[in-house]
Amino acid sequence: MSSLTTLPDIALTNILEHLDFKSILTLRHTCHDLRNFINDVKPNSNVRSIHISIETDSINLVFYAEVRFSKTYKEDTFYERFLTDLAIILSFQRAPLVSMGISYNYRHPTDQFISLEEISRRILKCRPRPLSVNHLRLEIFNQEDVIFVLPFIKTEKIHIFNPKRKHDVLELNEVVKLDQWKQAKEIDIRNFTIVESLNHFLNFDDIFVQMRTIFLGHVDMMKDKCLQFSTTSSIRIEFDELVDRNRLEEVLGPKLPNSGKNWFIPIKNSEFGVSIDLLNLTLRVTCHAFYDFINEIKPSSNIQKLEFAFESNRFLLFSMRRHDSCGNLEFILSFQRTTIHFLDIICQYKRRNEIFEKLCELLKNRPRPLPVKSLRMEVFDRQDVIQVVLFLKSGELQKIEVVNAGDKEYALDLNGIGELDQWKLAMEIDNHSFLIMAPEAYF
Amino acid sequence: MSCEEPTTSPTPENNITVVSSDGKEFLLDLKLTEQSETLARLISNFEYDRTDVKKDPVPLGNITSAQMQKIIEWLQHHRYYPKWEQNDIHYSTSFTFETWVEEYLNIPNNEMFELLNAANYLNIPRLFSTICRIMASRITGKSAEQIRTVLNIKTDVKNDVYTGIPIQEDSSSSEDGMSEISLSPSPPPI
Repeated sequence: MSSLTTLPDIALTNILEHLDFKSILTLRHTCHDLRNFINDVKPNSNVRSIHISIETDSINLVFYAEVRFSKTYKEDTFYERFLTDLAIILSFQRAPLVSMGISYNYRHPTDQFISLEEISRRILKCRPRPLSVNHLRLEIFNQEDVIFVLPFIKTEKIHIFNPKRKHDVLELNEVVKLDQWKQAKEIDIRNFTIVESLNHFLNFDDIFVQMRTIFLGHVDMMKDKCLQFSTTSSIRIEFDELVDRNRLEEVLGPKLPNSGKNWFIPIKNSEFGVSIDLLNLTLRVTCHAFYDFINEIKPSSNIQKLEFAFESNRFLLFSMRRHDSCGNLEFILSFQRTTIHFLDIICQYKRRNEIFEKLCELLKNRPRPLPVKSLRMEVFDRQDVIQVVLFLKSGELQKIEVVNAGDKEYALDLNGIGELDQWKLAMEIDNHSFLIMAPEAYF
Repeated sequence: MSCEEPTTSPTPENNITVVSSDGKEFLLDLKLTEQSETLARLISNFEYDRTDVKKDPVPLGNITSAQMQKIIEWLQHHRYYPKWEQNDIHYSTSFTFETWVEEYLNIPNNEMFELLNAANYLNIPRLFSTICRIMASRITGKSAEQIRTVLNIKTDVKNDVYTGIPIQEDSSSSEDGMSEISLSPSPPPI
């Protein structure tokens, strides 16, 4: 009697091609013959992203294939079960993952600390070819954690966050030697102070790092990098101190009249130039047309990327900066007519309500809603999301990324938000370390 | 465009004879055989499309007369359809089929598998792909136990889980928890 397992391989393979990944995983469990067949054929899983959140006594695994999958492993041999499942999922992965995130979801390593060593040794190391991931996001405690993962992954964008939500030193002396580091194009390290020389960052087109002290040489080096490599898109270095700040003109040359705290160094035979922005305690080096530079300093403005940050540990020291920022923001926003490509709201400041109210007011008072293409925001709750999203121009907004600004796992209640036009018309939603509570229809 | 349309009655010039495994002869219009790559190649190799060539009956040892009957029904229905072209195979959330196709394939699993084998043997891509899609639609969204029932698969995995005897190679029994993976987020802690 014929059955599924007696079909010719070509027929079974064809059936598998029509199945979504969950069905394939289920089919794998129906009998041995099918399991072996599926293990052999390795149908493409279509998994686009994987997020692993490690708690003290459980692990949450979320991945997106055709639909969202989520499973929490706890009790008994949860780490073992998690590893087995992850190994299966990754064994079917042929196309590059759009993103992979591994995060510790608590502030302090405890006795039951779950090391990434096993993920590294039993899964990543065993692959015949390194796992290809477009965007690697690590929320880890130290360099050792990075070394468990990065050497086995081919990636373009490396984002490293500190689960402790405060500034620690992150040593990278071993990491910077890796080929994977040298081949990546984007680095973003937040809530860590780096101590490695900026020489090790010259391969990146997009840089966001925080350092204690920078020197005039660093500013000069970043300027040269921008001048020499046209692929450099944005450099942002936050620092506590810039040594010999008053001698900047010696290195960068005289400023253009009326250019505030910005320098514009033209690139020969081109209308483009390097813009160096030393507002506050951030060095921003970008390359764009002189016309845009003028627009930016007289903010009538073609701003494409807007970031503002309020950080708790810096608040006391630089309270003026906060007011400054809000003042600037108001001014800038009032002149913004074109679409902002990327709006990044970083808010780890305790009196966040005040800031969000201020921001909300600014957005609300605009005669027309602010056009923003991609929004990334660190939020605590639903209210934060609503206050911002509601006043952005619907239809323009394509991507919404919400990041949990708290240090614990929260449920984010999206009730009501899904009804907003802005939400409905957005194409992509990305969420980190939140459990989303919302009807499926919202997605 | 439908199977009700009267087909031109086969004359010796435009047909061939095929013989099923149980010895029954079927007169097949050459126009119909174009849908089967196996038959089309055979006809072109032996030049059976020429009137001056003597045609021997073609034995189809793998196909019973019941299956042949079913296949001819399919070929008749798709007689005037454009040549089948393989679409990009990718996951689609809905499996939709023509009403005619649904009725045509409303048959027991056993017959379906045999028909799939026959479609594979005769290389009729439209039929082959349609059955594969129908099979996939019957698997999608079901639990392992339901799939076993629907597709009459005899399980060997379950026993191992229940007796606790570890299965060889990579498949530790704990792996079966994977089928519990949920589509919706787990309830948030309060």
